[in-house]
Amino acid sequence: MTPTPAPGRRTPLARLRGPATFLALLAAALLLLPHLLEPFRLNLLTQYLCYSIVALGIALAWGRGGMLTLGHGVYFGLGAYAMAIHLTLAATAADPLTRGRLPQFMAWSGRTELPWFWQALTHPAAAVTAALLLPAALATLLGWSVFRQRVRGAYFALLNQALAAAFVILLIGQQHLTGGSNGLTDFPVFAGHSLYTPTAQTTLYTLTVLTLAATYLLLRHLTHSRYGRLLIAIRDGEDRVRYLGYDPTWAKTLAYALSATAAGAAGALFVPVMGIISPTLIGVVPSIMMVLAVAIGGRDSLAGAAAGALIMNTAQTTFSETFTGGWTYLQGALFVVVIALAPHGLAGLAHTARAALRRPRTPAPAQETATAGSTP
Amino acid sequence: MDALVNQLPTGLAIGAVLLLAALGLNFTFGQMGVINMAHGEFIMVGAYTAYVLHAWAGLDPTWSLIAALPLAFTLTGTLGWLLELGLIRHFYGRPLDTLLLTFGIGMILQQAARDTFGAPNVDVPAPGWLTDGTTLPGGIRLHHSRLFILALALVCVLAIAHYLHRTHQGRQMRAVIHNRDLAGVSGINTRKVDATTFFIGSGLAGVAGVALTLIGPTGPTLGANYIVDAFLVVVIGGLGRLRGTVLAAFALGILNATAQAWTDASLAKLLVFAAIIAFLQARPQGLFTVKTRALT
Amino acid sequence: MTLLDIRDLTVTFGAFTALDHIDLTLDHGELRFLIGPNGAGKTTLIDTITGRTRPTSGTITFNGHTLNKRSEHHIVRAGIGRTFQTSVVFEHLTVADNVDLAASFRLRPWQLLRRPRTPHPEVPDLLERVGLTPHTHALAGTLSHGQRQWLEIAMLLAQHPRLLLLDEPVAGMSAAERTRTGELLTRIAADHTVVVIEHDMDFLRRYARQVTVLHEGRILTHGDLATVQNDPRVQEVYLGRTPQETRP
Repeated sequence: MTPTPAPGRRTPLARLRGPATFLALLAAALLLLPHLLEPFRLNLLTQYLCYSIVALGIALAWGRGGMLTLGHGVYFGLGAYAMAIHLTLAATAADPLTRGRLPQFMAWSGRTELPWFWQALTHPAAAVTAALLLPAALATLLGWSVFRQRVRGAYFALLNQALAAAFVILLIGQQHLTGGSNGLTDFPVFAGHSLYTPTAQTTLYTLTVLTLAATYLLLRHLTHSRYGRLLIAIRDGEDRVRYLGYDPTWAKTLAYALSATAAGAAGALFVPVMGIISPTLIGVVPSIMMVLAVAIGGRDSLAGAAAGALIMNTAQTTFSETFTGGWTYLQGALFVVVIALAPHGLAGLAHTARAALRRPRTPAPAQETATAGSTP
Repeated sequence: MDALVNQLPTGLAIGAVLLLAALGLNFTFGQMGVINMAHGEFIMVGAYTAYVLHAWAGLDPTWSLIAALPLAFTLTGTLGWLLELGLIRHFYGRPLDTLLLTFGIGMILQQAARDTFGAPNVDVPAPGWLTDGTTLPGGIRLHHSRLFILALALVCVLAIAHYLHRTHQGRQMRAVIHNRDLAGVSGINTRKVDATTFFIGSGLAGVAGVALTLIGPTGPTLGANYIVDAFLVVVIGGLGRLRGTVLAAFALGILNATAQAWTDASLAKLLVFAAIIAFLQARPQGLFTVKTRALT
Repeated sequence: MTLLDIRDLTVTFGAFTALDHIDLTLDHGELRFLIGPNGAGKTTLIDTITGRTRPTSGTITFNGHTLNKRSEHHIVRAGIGRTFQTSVVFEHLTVADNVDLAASFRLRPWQLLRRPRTPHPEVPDLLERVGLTPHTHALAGTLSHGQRQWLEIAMLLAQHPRLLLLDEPVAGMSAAERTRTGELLTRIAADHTVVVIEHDMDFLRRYARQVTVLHEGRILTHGDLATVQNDPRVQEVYLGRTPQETRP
């Protein structure tokens, strides 16, 4: 029998090379791209990188932990709305016409007082905290209560989807509190700084890249810990794990909550970059698109998932502008093709390609490389 | 209690619609564990079948309704049969992958509908005898179209129960659900049973689609609007339990109606969701369960 | 000294009684074989001890503590380990990582979050014991059926259980694998309390000392192998023959 290295477990050299290359590339991109890209493209790229952060979280929960989360738009949305509410308040305060009064949409719908959760988000630090903690808290609550009862697999996926549907209906229905289906838009300032300057755009870009890198490193550390192996074990045999003396509930809840927090952070970054947040960006379909990006990139690979989000969103912008209908067909076909033919996504294809390229060069190496490859 | 009684007709009406949408899922998800996200689009195809019969073929509302029911059943059944034959059967045992796969199919069908019929909603006029309503003593109004849907749902339930328990194929189907390997070695053609199950399950989506044209406009996203709730019905009802599906559909319908009357429609959905999570604390496997020894 | 004490245990599934007022005690250091025809309740008994199935009535006391309402992982932590009829190892983890995960179950959650520099110190020794050292870094999914069973035993030993419950450890094994498993079992039994469910009569003759026979959810008889083998009731229900036929 030929022992083969486990995916995500490579030679010590490759282990170092993987993140080192990734970080070097990121650093180069961080320094160079703002100078190379025109502001419009830089803005788009920043948006895509926000989705890459979401993808990292989904790769942890789904790829490692087997929890198919069809409702990550909710967590992205909680982060985004926390930030958008704060930015709307900042805009209202800065605008000489509305200074000290309610945002226009609220005044139009007949409200005379700011709702309590708006007031709570007046301070920028409160907004950032809420963008991270609200998704974490909701995911912990939902995750703990269903995982504890061993609700999993398809049931869990469908519950997530139902949550996304309910959340969007709530946002649309509570027009006087949330801006309804128009959402919230027009964010000129954050913490006293204008968001419309090129410097602001570069800063947002840098922040997004840093958040992406930090998320990647944290999750990468986790996937290499015993906890990471425990997640894989839970994915492949949750009941069996119980007979190893572990309680899967906390392990799953943690992965799910972390992935929700990543989505919240991404949402908070997305809002000042995009300049708008509305229910159409976070509903059932956007949520499942976030999962599609991970499937395309490769659910087993963090870097693959992040790249998948970047690639899919770039393609979306490129194609949907020219032929809208055609892009939907293509997206639908992508689901089928990726799941049917490349379940490990682009990362899996890259892995296979690399293995195929390496083989002819060294004769009879299968045993050797494999053994060396699996040295811990 | 008073509020509950007042909301009962509305709740039953919502429940009947949910039941019709979920009945097909009882076959494909409940019996086979396959999550067919394109089920919603099959519902949509059923609705457009009624539209085509009326608007393109020029049948009058009564005849188009009567003709659409079997036609939609056959059409969406065939679509489901093809889907099972071409894709799904390669993915048994991988429910989450099937889910994503069929979502892709759903997207394609939705876009195809948009390209064929246009994005705006179309209307299929209901037959005159269904547009009326009856007012009960106490001021509660019963729409005839709702009563028709309720009756249709119940007829479907009875037909399914009869099929599963009284016919040879139905018994084979239950045998396969209960123990696929054992059924296989007992000489049951499990492939054929799978295909039949999918045909019937998807066909029921078509019937649901025709029924939905009676209570609202038809558009490319018609099915998508119902599918989330329909899946919840099966989740609450428990895998593969017809009884569970029926009870869950009406429970969810009444819960929705009561919550809506109590707060407003947008908050109601979230309350219903919270109620479902609470329910799962007591009955994590749904209303009815099948015990299994398999280790997962 | 009693390690496991089962009193008046009944388990019903709907109208079906899987276990019918079972009394069973197990002493420290014992090696007990549990036999019986299909549907006798052997696996249900193990399932009930390990928390997989809830008892309808009766009590299970382990080392002085009642196990009745505890969840699976708590029972494992109390010191009861088990294997399954169909071996379930984690195919996407290496052999070493499988054992390492099993050995690390007493770590606190935050300790699990750290990246391990070295595998658990006992892993090489355990793999040596079950003869899987050459496969240390192979994915468990690449192992043969017999090797998987041994890996499961290594995982079980890594947890230092006071009581091991093995559900048909030699089912589906080749003759050579059976012998090896039997020897492994003998060595393990030297310093552990072990319960083995087994169908294989040849294996039983070679390694069994004390045998308990279950039939239709009841304990039919109990004793050393020779006594049990010669019990006409056992021959009737277990071998499905009348005593006369079995005598040559």
